Amino acid sequence: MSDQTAATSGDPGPGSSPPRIPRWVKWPAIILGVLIVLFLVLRLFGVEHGTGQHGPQRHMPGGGNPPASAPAHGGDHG
Amino acid sequence: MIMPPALRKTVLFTHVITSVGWLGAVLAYLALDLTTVASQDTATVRGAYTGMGLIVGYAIVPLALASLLIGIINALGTTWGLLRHWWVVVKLILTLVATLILLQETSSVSYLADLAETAPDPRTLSSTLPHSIGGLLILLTTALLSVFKPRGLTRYGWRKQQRRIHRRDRDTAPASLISE
Repeated sequence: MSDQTAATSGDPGPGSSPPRIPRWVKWPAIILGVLIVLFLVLRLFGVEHGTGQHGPQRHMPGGGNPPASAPAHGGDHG
Repeated sequence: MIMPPALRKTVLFTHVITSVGWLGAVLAYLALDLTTVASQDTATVRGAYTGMGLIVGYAIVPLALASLLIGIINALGTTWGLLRHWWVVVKLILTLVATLILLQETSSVSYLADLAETAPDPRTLSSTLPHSIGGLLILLTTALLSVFKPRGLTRYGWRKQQRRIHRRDRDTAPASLISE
């Protein structure tokens, strides 16, 4: 969002070996990766995000789950 | 292909406007989202959900898609490139993630807005606050990257730079050296 050009960005000059991943990319990526793994582990072990569903139904009162007084799904068929 | 200066300025202007507009629309959405959490007035909460649905559908989604598309054009049409500098790559990834989550959430927000119109007590509906705050943080990060442009070439950018330097050296070398 700026008119600064690549030539004035302060990048190091040409070197003989390819550059490494900068620290400002590496550390946030590691932290983000750990957080994602933590999130997945928590989900796996039953600590749900919100009501544990994705999609519009999770925003319903009760998280889209039938109320306790409602009959069980498929209970009275046939 | 590098764009001519006038076109580059126009694309950059459009990119800044759509990106800042996206950020502003998310802030407006966040204000309504906070209202649905904090307000005890049923009519206010109902109105907030309706407003959230309108803002997402008519402001956030179009601005996000425009910002992403114009941002890609802007990068490809300047010397920055799309994959040459880490700050551009990280910004692209963040914008893509934000847009994908936004598109996934759009149906939920529309559903909530519809539900709030008929629900006896819309205060019992869940909020989308984590997503609004997350989206805002991502957009602030992309704005920071755009302004500060932290240094760092990708491997692809480095190879491009090396090729350009070799070409320039070859072009500026004396004719006698080239013919040897």
